[in-house]
Amino acid sequence: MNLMLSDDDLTRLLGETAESFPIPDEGPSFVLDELAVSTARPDRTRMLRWTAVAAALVVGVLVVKSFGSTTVSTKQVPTALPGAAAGSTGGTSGTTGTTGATRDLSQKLAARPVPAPRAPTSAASGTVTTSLAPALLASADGSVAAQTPGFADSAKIVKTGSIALIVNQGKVSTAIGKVQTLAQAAGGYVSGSKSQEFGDNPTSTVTLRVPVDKFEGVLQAVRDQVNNGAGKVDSSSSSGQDVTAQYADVNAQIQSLSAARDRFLTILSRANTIGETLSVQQRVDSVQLQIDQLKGQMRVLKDQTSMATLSVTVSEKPKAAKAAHVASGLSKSWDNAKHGFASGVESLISRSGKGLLALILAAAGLVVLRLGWRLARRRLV
Amino acid sequence: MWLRQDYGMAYRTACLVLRDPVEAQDAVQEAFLRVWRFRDAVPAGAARKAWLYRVVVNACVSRIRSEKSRTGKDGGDLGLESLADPSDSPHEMAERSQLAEDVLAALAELPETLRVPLVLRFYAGLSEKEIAVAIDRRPGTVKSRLYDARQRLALDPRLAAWATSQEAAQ
Repeated sequence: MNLMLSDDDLTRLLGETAESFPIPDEGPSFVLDELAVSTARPDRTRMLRWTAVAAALVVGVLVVKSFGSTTVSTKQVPTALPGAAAGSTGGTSGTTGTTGATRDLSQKLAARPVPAPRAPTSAASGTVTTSLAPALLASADGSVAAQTPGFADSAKIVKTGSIALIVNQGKVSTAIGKVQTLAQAAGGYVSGSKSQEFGDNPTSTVTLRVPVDKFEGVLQAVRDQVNNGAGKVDSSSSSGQDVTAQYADVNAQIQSLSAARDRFLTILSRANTIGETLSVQQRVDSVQLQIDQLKGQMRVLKDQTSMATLSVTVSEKPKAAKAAHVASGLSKSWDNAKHGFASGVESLISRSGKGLLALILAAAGLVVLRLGWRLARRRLV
Repeated sequence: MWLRQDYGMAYRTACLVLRDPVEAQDAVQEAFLRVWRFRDAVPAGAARKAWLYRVVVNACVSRIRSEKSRTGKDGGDLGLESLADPSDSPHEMAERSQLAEDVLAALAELPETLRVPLVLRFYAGLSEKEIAVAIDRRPGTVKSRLYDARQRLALDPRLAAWATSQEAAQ
C-alpha cells in the first residue's frame, strides 16, 4: 500500500529530525571570527579590480591624447578588463577556501590565516571594507548600511616647514635664542639643533616642534623678528601631507585585530586540552603583537599630526669682498701682449707637428754648438 | 544580528541535506562568509531569505559533489554510517530518536535534486517560488521534484510504517 505522507507529516518528520541536531553555540562565533579576520585582510579582489579599471582609464586617456580621437578610447577599455576578471577569479579563493570548524580545534586554528601587519597605505578601499563589518552585523533586517567612521570627520595633516634667515655679524646665537623663545611661548619645544662654521660664515639650525594650530603663527613671528632690522628672510617653505587615509587604515586594522583577539580569548576559555590551549595562546600572542605594532604606528601618526616641525636656519651676512685690482691702460696692454705671445707660441707648436718641432730643436742645438766652438777657439788662440 | 537569527535554521537545513553536522557547520560558515563577501547583492525584504538559502544550498551541493568526486559515492548515499560521526557525543546519539534515524535514512535514499527542495519546503518553510529562486529552477520543476520526493518517501517502509501507525492512532 502506497500511503502518501501529508504536508503536516513531512513538516513534523523533518522538524523532529532537524531538532536532533543541536545548534553549536560556537557556530555564529566562528563565522564572526572569520569575518573579523577576513576584514583585516585587504580585499584583493576589489583592489585588483580597481587597479585594472584605473590602468584601463590611464591607457584610454593616453590613447585619446595620442590620436586625438574619442572613438579609440572606447575600444581600449575592454582590452584591459580580462586582467580584472582573472584577478577576480583568483581573489575569491581566499574566502571559499575556509576550512572546517569543529573537528579539531587546533587544526582549525592552525589553518586560519592571521592577517599580516600591513604597512599603512593611503588606499581608502581597505578602510571602507573594514568599517562596513559592524554595520552589516548590526542591521536587524539584513540590509547593508554603510557606516562612515567617526575618525574620518577630521583631516589628519602632517605639517612641516623650513625658513632660512640671514642676520648681521655676531647675531646668530641671539637670533637662535629668540626663535627658541617664540617656539616655547607657543607651547612647542626644540627637538634638535646644529651649528657649523664655513670660514667666516657661522650657521646654526634648530628644529622646532610646535602645535599644529600655532604653526603659521610661529612662522609669521619668526619672519617679523628678522624683518625688524635684525636681518632678512633668505628662503621659506612649508608643506602639508594628508595622512587621514593612513590614520583611518591603521585605526581600522587595530579595531579589527582587537575583535579577532577577543574571539581568540573566548575560544581560549573553551579549550579543553593543553594542545588546544597552546595553539590558541599562540594565535592570541601573534595578534597582540600586531596590535602593539599598529599602536606604535598610530602613536607616531598622532605625534606628527598634533605637532608641526619647523626647521630654522640662521646664518651671518657675508663680509664685503675686497675690491678687485683694476689694471691701468699700459699694464693692461703688456698683459695682453704676454698673453698673445704665449698663445701664438702654443698655437704654433700645437699646429707644427713633430717634424717642425725637431727642426726648431736642431737649429737651437746648432746655434749652441757654434757658440761653444767660437769660445773654444778664442781660448786656444 | 541577522547572522545569529538565521544561523540555526540554516545549520539544520544543511544538516538535513548533508546529514553530517560537521560538514553542515562548515558549509554554513562558508555560505555566510560568501553572503558577507557579496553583501552588495543581497536583496532586501522577503527575497533575502530565498537568496540566503540559495547560497547555503550551493555550499551544500558543492560539498556533496566534492565528496562524490573524492570517494566516487553520491553524498546522498552516505547512509547511517555518517550519523556515527566521532564528533557526536554518546549523549547526543542517544538523544536522537529512532524516528529521526529513520527520516535521515530515508533522506539518504533521495538524490540531492529531490532532497534539497523537500528540505527547503517542509523544514525551512520556503514557498515553491522561493525554492525556485534558491535552486535556480522554474517553479514547475520544483513542483514536480517535490512530488517525486514525496512519492519516493512514501515507498520507504520505515516511514510507511510510521504513517500507518499515525493513521491508526487517529
